Amino acid sequence: MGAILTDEQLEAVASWAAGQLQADRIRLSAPVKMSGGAIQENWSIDAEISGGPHAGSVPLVLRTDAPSGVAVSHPRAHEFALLKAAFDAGTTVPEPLAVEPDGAVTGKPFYLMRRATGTANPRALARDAALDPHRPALTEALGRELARIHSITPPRTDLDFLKGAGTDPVTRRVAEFRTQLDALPDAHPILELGIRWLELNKPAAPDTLVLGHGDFRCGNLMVETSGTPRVTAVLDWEFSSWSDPLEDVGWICARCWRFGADQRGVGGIGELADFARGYEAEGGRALNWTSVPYWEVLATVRWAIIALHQGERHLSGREFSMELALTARKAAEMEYDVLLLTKWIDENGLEGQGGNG
Amino acid sequence: MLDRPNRGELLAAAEKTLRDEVLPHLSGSTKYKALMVASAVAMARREAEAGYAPAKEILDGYAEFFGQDNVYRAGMDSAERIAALNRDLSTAIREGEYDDDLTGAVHKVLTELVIARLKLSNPGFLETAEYAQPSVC
Repeated sequence: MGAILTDEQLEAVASWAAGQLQADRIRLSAPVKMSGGAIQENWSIDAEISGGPHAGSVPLVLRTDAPSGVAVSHPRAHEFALLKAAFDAGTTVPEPLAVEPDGAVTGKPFYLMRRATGTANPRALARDAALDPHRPALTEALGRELARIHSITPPRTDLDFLKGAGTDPVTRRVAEFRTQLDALPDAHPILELGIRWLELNKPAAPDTLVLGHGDFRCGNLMVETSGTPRVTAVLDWEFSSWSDPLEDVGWICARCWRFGADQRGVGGIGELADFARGYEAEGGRALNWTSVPYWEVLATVRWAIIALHQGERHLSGREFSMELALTARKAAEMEYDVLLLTKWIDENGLEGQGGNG
Repeated sequence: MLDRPNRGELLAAAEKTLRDEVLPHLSGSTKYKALMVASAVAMARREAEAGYAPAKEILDGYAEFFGQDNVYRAGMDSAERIAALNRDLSTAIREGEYDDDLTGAVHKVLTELVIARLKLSNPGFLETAEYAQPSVC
């Protein structure tokens, strides 16, 4: 749909949505592009719905593909199924309302979901001193959210497009990483070292695979910060797969997602002990929390490779972007962290190494 | 190439003007974009100021690790030699040649090399390394 929906396209979305939501008529406000999202575009639209179960004023988000998507992300229809599964499992996500998987209405697939309140501002979450008294409770709440996500386990026919069922998560990631590195023009010996180290120090496979969110970090969390802060939405499900539950924990804990508040291990927000308490209180299985540093190595290697690929989108001429160009140069920071982490683990060891349980 | 201000001096002037005189007048997404531009200009300035030194540092590090006789690549400039050495080391690591010593000598040389790169891309990052500890309960 190009840069913005035309009036005709917006009208087509409105009449299509009326059919989907059993409404007599839907009026849509002019779409406003929301920030964030190198891979997808989000448009904020206010709906006036007449008739049907959703009648009234409903704030919506229309989510669709950006001009240049990444091959590893899920199509919008799959993302919609994930959102529905998460919503049904009690995760705080925007209620998914309707999906248009074929591109027949606007030229690109999209779906509609209820718009969550709050903001996704990872820097503020990590750095705002006003949040300090609330950090333990907020971090515990994040643990609870992840436990709800991880309550979803295979097999699930509605999620049969997800990768990872019946495979060892680390073995799968290692193979993915090498394929992704081989697709880049230059070699990256530090990342090769990290990948080989992951392979040689692999924990035992988990007893149960769970739905791994795949991008569970502050930038993908909407938080309402007025009054007592609370999570209002877990966003961006396009990288999920069946995985070891600790993979998501390592991702949010890795230093690259602490936004400068490096002393607070969980995304710059709070402490791992608070996170673990929330996770286990919500019925999450007991995890081997002492092996989180291993999963931080995996997370850091993964983000470095993503950063290099984002940079390549710019360098190849496919998509001019100042931001993508700078992201490529961030990879050196993750490479340094891979070296620091592997050294730290070499010197301090990982107690009780051996997967979860 | 011959006249002054040279490229490093021009980039330094561009960066200072952007930070001191342009950025204060900006807000929102325009300010964010200008900050990215300032960051890119600063990186290019540091590279211009450093000249050949970082490439030499990396090649010297590799020479010490592999032995001087093993790092010469006929007909290649320094960037091509570094890329070729990176490729050779990557292959060797992937094939398990350093399995017994992954956090030893190979780790040490790669740490030196990434520090040389970070001095160009983000020297501030090196100062925060003390916080690089993993999350523990």
